[in-house]
Amino acid sequence: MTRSLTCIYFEDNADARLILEMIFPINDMILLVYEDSSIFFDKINCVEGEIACFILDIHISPHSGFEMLKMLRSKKEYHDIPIIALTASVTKDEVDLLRNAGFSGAMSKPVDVALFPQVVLRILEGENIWAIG
Amino acid sequence: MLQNLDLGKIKHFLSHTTLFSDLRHIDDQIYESESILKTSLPVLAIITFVLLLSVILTGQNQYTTLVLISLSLLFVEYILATRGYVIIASYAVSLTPAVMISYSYANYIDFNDEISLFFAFWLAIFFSALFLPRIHYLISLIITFVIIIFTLQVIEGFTIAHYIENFDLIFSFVLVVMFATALFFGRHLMANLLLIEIDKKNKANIALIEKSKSIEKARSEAETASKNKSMFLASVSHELRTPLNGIINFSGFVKSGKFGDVAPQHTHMLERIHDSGYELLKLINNVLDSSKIASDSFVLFYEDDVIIDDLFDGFDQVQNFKFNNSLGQAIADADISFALRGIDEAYPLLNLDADRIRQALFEVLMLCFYYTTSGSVCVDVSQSASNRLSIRIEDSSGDILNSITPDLFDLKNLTTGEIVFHIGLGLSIAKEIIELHGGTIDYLHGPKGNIFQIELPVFKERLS
Repeated sequence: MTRSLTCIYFEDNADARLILEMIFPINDMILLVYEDSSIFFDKINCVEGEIACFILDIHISPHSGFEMLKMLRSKKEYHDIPIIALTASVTKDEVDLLRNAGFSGAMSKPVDVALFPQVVLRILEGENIWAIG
Repeated sequence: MLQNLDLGKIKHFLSHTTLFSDLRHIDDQIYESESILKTSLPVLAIITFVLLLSVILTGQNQYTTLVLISLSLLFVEYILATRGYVIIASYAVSLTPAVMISYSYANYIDFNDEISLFFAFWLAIFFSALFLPRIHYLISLIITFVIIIFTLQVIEGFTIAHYIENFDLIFSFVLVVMFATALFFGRHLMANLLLIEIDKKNKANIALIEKSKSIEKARSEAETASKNKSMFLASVSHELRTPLNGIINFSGFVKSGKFGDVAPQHTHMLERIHDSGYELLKLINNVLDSSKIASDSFVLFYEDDVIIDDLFDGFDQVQNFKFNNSLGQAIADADISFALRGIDEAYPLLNLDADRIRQALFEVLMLCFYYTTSGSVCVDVSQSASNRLSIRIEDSSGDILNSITPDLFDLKNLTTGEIVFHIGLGLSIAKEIIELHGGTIDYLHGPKGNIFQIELPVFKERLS
């Protein structure tokens, strides 16, 4: 049985979730969406297949994107998986915070549906991309 | 009270004067003098009374007037000093007793009036010099000696024997006591004058500190207001972008047929929803950029080795620009031609923030297209004689912008109406971007319409 690549997306906004569901799959990568960040370790531990990346909304509860990033980076099994921020906050201060916190990249909302797959793939290849604008 | 003042300078000055050169603890001396001065007038009154009594008892009535005049003058000096006329009082303190003493001495030894005044004048200078730096004191001492010798020896034929014969114990006592009193009083008066000056300066310092605190408070409030404004705008931006994500993308999905075929009559409306979403997004971005410009936090991210083609990539497909003119026509629908000339030439590599320069060029182009309902919009690129990237954007919009040209790039000087007509935010941002690159943007009104001349010092050879 082939193990599929999964991108896990935490997002509390229904429209944003639906838009990313419309964009995926990207190549063979499927999207798994969660609408809040409660017991998120329990959620991701249940994921079958290889986790390719995490896409985190920053303003999500109960754990913000920053808190989830910190917890994911502290776990050996998730430490090296790319984590992408998806945010509607586009000020330089906010982007600096994302960069300094240790995100692998960031994209702004509204999502550019044409650009989105390319950015995700490049981040998966190891680039740090800050597609904010 | 004195901690805010530079007492070091005062000490330094005093240590160079003849009279105060022995002062080692001027701070204490100044404080001490305050209490001394409070009792100095009664003390002086007692001394004067003793003098008066002594001259009356000894029949030397000619000195009574002298003593009273001296006392009156010293009193006036005190009043002057306490009212803040420091310099006048200082001179008076030293000059008055000196004049009186030397005049009386000159009279006592029977000089004529003119000689007495002359003699008194030079003696007064001698005494005054006590309050001056040492070099003045030495000079005045030498001059005084010369004058005295000249006066006594040459004019009056004075001899040592003559002086000894006329020696008067009471008169000598009067002179010594008056001189000592004047010196004592003068010394402490000077100290008190310093205290008054220090107090004045201190009050001025306190006022300055208060003013400084008030300025600091105002600055802090302005910073807080600016920060709050930025936070508010960032928050508004976040809140507006979230629903725009749905508007732009869902209309895009429907328009592209992801949810099935779209009736032709609906396509245009879907496009308008989609494009309006982008226009709103651009407006939000411009508001944020304006806020950054206002708070001096607008920064560039320079890229190395940018080729000219990258800077103008996509410009030839002008119909893809989401520009509409003032009649609401898209570029493709209006009778407007577009030309991009000069980018085929060989240019050195560029060092600039390409995204921001493109943003600036788009802002200017959007303005030109907005006001052009027919004719052309042309972009001419060249390398100027001063080794700058020169971009000239010209349209055929007529003279519609002519009335507002002086403040075209200055957001705060534009009226609300002008800002509404796409001029304000975009052009002020374009100007900021170009000026942050060290360049210039000028507006000219040509025979056909608007001309924007942009000069950018962005060629890499020039920078390195």
